[in-house]
Amino acid sequence: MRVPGHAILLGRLRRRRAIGNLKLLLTYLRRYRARLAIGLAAMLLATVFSRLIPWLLKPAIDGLKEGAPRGHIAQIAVGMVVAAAFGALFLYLQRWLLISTSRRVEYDIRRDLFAHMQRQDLSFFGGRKTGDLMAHFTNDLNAVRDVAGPGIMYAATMTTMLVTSIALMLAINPILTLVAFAPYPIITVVTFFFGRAMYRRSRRVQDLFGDLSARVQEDLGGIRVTRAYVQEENSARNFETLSRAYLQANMDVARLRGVFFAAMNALAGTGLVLALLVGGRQVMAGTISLGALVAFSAYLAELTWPVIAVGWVIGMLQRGASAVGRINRVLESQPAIISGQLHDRPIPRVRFDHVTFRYPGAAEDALRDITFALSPGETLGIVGRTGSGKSTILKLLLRFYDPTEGRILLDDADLRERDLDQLRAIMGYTPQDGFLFSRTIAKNIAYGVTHADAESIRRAAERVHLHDEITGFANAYESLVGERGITLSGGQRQRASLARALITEPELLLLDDTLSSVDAEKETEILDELRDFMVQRTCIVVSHRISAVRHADLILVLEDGELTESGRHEELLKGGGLYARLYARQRLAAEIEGTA
Amino acid sequence: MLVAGEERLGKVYDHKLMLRMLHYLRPSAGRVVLATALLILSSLTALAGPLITRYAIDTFIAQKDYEGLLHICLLWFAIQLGTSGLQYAQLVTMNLIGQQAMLRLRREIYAQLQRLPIAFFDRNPVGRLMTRVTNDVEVLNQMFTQGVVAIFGDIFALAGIMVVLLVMNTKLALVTFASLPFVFLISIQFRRRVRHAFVDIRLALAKINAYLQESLSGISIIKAFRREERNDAEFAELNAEHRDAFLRSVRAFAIYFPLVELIQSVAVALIIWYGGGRVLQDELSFGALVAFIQYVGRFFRPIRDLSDKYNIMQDAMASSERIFDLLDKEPEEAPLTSIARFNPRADLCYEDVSFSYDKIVPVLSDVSFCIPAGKTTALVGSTGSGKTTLVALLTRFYEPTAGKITLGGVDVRDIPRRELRRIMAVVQQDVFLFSGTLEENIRLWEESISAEQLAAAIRTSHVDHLLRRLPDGLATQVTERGSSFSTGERQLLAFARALAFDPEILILDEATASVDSETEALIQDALQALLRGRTAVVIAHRLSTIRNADQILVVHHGRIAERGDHAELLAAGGVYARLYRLQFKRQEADVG
Repeated sequence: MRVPGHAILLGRLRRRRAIGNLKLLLTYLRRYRARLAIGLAAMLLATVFSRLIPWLLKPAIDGLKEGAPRGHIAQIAVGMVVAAAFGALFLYLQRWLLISTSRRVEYDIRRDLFAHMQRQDLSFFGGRKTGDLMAHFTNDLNAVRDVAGPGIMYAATMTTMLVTSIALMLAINPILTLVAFAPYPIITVVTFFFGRAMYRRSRRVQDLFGDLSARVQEDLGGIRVTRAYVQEENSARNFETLSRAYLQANMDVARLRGVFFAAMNALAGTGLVLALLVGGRQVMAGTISLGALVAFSAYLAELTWPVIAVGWVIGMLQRGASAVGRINRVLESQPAIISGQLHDRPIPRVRFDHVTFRYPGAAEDALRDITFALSPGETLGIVGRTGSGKSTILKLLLRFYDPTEGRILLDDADLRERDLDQLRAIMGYTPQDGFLFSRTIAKNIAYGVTHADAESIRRAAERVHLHDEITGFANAYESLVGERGITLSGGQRQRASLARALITEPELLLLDDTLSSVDAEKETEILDELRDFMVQRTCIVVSHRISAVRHADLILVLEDGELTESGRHEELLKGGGLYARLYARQRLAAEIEGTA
Repeated sequence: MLVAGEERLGKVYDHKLMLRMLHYLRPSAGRVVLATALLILSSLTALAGPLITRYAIDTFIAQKDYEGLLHICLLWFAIQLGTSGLQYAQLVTMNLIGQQAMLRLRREIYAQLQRLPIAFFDRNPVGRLMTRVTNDVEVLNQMFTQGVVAIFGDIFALAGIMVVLLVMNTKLALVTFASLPFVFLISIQFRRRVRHAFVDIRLALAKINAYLQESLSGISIIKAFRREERNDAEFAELNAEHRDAFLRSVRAFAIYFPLVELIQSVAVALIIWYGGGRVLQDELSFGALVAFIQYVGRFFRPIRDLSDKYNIMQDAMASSERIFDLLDKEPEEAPLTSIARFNPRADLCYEDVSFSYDKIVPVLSDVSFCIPAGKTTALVGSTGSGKTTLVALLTRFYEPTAGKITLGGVDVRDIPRRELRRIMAVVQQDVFLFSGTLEENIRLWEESISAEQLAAAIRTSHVDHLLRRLPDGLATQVTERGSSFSTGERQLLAFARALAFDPEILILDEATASVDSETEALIQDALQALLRGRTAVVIAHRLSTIRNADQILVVHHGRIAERGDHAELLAAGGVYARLYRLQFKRQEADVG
């Protein structure tokens, strides 16, 4: 398989990992460094221009006080508008460049994450819950994007504002500045501790919300039990208890937030009061002008918000860092199944050589010491009970997993030495559940081919006896499959997925109980018609129905992962084992169906 | 391509929905009044700052009255503290109102879910129903706490500032107000753009999530058909759609905020210029001029906030519509006109019962038979023959489309479902375990079951064997639907559950999965105890159960094909006899 572009980047990332989680983010941000640089410069200018407006209040007020001519005041007013216009322009650039970059970074990470995940082994997915994997794309990505955009922007703006405002305030009067800032250290400390307490309480709310959701989900799942045992009221009582706990947790958050805002208000207000008191006295003493006091107060009032937001930004950075860490761990995982060399692709010969396999994390082997050989163009049938390991044989052939012991040979080359992409291109696979995607029927059938004309799609559908049913749908082949479209029956889905495999013209056809939801008669009919298709290919047919495999060149009977019988239909019948018993029972069932 | 379940732009206000939502605030009426009063009060006291600055400048600083300055500063400090207190009280009260309304709403939705007919759950996926109880209610909370009441606060703040400005200087106030129409116009434009962008973002996100979900579930198909690269391209399209919608909203914000700031600065410049002229003509004091400048900053905030409120309202309307739609669904049990008296230990009879889930494909056709009181009836037949449906009608999870079921001659439809279910216990093949302790899973949450009854049930069902290996005994936590218990153990737990409830009528769907021989022996024994002396209907898979049954019904294609006891049916040489020879002979050999 070709190395996708993101893999090169990831290789670079992996080496940098130890330096810290946010480093990954830097790698992504680097691509937009020009935008970021201009954005930050705009931010600097926007802040400077916005600082100018209070600064102009001083000469305006003092000028009025000294009875300056109206024209002078008008000049100052015009100056303000000009400063504001420049400020607005740069603020626009700042917001647009900085925030839009975070959206682009989000796009890049989401793309890489998806590309990377798609290329992981099946064992990667087996060990993880879908919900957790989805969370990387939702919660984690949001947290990262928050850092990349607003996080950077607010942190930079706050710093600039603090530095410039304090400098200007010091220029007005150092003593007044010291007095007015007296409450600020307290604000910082309060914010810090509040942030921690808030995090804990919010976590509890989130946890309880999760519990509440899980409770409802479970209660709805078990609703038949609840009803049958007349436990509706008791179950409602349990829900009530949880709901109340959730209410309490929410109120804990509300109270804490209430206290925090009240404290911030009071502390910031204290600064303003002190400025008025001390500054007023200085104006009386003639140390500073009235205009200077007004400008000073304006600066001070504008600083309240950035100081309160410090804690918020810190929290954002923390959440972002741990989210980057989680995303990084996914991006770092490497598939164990590695592609080999390209080979010729004739109609293949298949050989299992003492293959034993255990699913990752499982306690028992799914297959034990399986050996068989299949010549080009032959058909292999596999029968056995549910869980006997039939499907696993197909999954190993597709290299979804590699055998724990032994080897699988395709044309005398170990699967592990073959090019993975080519290997899978040789095979046409139909899963048991007939999994389809939510797109049109035509697109589902043509899923495995790059280009498919309507004619070949139609031919594939006809082969599996689906064409007439499809034309019966309002939009025929263009009907959407799934929740928003038509609901296909199990049998229809299975046949569509068989068509999907046939249209790729595979050299090795793998049918995993493909027609189990189709009635036996129809199954036989379809398989009979497929015979000339199958004759030119090597085929493996897994089925719980004897009728589907009885014509196979070789039939394997699996019991609990072991090969207990093998041979042709007639031989196995004579053997009188599980195969013969299954056959007799299915014959009887068919007979009863017929007589009813 | 993918189309996700997301609504386009919805209504912002619907009077009927609003009234119905407000209904949930009624029990908190007193608090609502309090919160509103607190809000008005705190928005007003928050206006004090500029006024105080004005007096400080004009009266005390101008006259160099430090004493006076100190006093007014202390007053201001007190007002600041008071405002903080009011804001705290308001925030907490408001949240409490919202949380309590949510609690009421959740309780009602939950109760409704418990009342809806079982068939409803066949049609509606659990995930979607769950969203009603969780997320949709949460959206309404946003409206209760941040929407409705906060709008009052914004309006009061705005009105308060306008009044103060007008009183201080009417002309200057009118000049200042000149900026308002611009801010309004820009806000409306902005809101429209952002709203559209947000809807697009949500749609794109829903598509992305659907695509991801599907790719994760279909990963083996993706690999088998080597779709990775083409999927990258498909995903890139959705990803770009999402990014571009977001960029539109970023652009709107990037334009809106600087514009509002610009207008605000222009307003300040206007005040300086026009107000300055008034000052020079002694029509306006310095303090008033400064107060004007300070008020302008607060003037724009409420207008800016209104667009947020708009979005909150729109979301709330959509959620409430979904919630009320669910609440309006017909419950399972319509009130009975007359309640029949019935004898729980009487024969259960099916009289010409037919049933169909979809009213098209018949599942049961004209079935008639009786289940004698105190005896065991076994149902035998292939999958899909209608056995499960037959017993589901007994608990009245579904009602016959034709015919009736009687208990001692009384039509079960004349018996309230809950009364009927109280005399029954159901053991399903796939035993459902709730997360919670083992004890909770046996007695469920029924407190009328005494400790002795519980102990007896555990003994008789041989669950005590299972308890021995668990250090926490009955207090053992069941996790993830009981995945830590084997099929056999789960079966025993279900027996214990049924025994604890000591029903007159037992409905049992035997598990088909094979269990180890030791557990099998325990199950056999517990089963004997469970069936003894009760009216029992068993969907039987075990030969021993079938052979010991007082009556065997062979169900085939929704009809009773054969009936009789084991010996009779064997002698008749029909389907049962052949089935027996084929399927059960080996079992017989195994069990002996």
